[in-house]
Amino acid sequence: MTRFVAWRVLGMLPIILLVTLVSFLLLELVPGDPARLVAGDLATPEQVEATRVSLGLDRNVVVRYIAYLGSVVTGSFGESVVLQPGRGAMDLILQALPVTLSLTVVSLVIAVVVAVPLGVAAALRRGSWVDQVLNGLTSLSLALPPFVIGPLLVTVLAVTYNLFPAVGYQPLSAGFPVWFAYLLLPALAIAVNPIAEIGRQVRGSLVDVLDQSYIRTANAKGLSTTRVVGKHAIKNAAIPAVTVLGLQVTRVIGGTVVVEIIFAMPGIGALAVNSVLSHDFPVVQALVLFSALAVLATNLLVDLSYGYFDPRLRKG
Amino acid sequence: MTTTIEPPRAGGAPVRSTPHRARFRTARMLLSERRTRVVLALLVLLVLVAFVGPLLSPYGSNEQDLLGRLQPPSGAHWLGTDSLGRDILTLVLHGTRLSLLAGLLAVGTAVVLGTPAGLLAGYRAGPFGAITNTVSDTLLALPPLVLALAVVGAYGGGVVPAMLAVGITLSPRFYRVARSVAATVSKDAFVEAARSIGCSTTRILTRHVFANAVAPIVVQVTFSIGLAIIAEASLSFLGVGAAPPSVSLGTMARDAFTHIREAAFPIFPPCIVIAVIVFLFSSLGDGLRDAVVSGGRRT
Repeated sequence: MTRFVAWRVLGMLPIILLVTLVSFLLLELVPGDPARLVAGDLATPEQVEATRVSLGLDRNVVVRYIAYLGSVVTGSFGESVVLQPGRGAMDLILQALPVTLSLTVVSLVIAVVVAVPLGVAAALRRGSWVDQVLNGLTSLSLALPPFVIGPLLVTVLAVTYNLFPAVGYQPLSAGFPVWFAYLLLPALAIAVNPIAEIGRQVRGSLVDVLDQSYIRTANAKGLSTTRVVGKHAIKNAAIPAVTVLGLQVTRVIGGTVVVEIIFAMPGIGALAVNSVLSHDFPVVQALVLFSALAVLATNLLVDLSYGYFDPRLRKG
Repeated sequence: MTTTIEPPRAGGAPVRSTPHRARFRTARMLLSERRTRVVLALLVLLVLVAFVGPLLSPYGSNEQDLLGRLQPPSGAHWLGTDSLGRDILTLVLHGTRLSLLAGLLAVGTAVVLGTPAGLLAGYRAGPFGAITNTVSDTLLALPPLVLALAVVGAYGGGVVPAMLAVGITLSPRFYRVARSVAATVSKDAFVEAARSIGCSTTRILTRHVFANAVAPIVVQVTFSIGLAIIAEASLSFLGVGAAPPSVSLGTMARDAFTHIREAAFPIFPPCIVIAVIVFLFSSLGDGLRDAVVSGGRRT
């Protein structure tokens, strides 16, 4: 197990290195003088020079890249220069992380809780109304990105009917019901697409599994449908579904950016938009790197989960 | 020079046919379902409306009427006016055009970057493939919206840099499709035959291998355009996409959402139009994918 993880992380190293290069090169993309852009239009020449030094732009590119790698390894990911000058970019990210993590977890939990029963029901009764609903939802869900659903939910449920708090965020320490009430609408806005994708995948792979002979054997033994599906079929059908769940993570991260702005939540997405608008490049770079690492970590978790669902994959 | 050896698997229809039939075989296979043809017709209609509509509108996209702001739909303004008193129908038409162009730019970038690399990597195993695989995996790890945000932050606002960034993150899709087709086809007899009569690698890839990849790439294009259109609207919604003179459905949704407590209606037109555009593209993609899987034979 440890060996497997170590092997996979080693295999990811070139990708991680390339990601650091991409995030490093973002600053090189700035047309003209990055220091002037960061310092702002009103800065004096001395202030521009000071910004140049704090960005490290007075040094050679190669030296800077190595210094950047150093800051990544030590975990500071560079220092903010505009939003909160002097604070580590990683500090800012960690401060915003609980919000985004809550949002991501709640929306993925909603997605799984709705999608799995829906997919199972659709697979057991092909062509029934459940199947039709899932089919329709799948076609519609792509067309309903979070920034369309979000404002619509706010308009209907929060502004017109006052059922939910319209915008904002309360930490978990304020109590679970409060935390959840604030999270439900934004999480729903993100979850629609994953519900459809996961539901479709569960249906598809369960249909394949149900055709296999060991399921016929289980049925022939006289086991109940619940037991056949719950104990024998679902684990085998889970692997493609978990893969899709993993693939959804990049889209969910994109969704949180938009949703955090719509619902005025102080999370990583809001931090990304603010740092881009205020030209705080070290924070922008850190965010690109951090989100890519989060995606890679998710992929690793997905690979590890295969061993849980299918014991044949545990060796090797 | 030599006669082109038709790839036998491109159609699935009878292999021997007249040259004219052969030319449009892929197109006919893709459009064999009636539902797909209907969706395509609706999309053509949408494109026409988006490009001709703005010319027919009596209002300009920046014609403000501050006394008549946030009006409900009326005879003069069929979809009402926004917070600056601009005619929402006119804005929707302009926004639709921008969405379509942005989608085309992003997906064009992705196809141009991904396809040749994928064809070559699939046709020839070796160090090139190893490098492009790593690059493709890296791009897949970068959330498109986050990268586009960062590029816009570095390069300055505007739809073009944002869509180029989105195109880069979409390119692994085309790389993977092209690679898998090239890897399968390169073992086929017709590729060996082409090689034996002295065709260059470029010719084999462009004339023979690419012909087999066209159908799956077209499928991927339709899905990707939907994603790119959503990305453009999301970025504009966040205020880092389309800049003021140009009108995006995303900026319209943003504007309507800011004034939601004054008037709820303006939020609906841009959101519904985006949903319709993306729905049409994804249904087209579904139809085309089914056609590729079934090889154009009716089920």
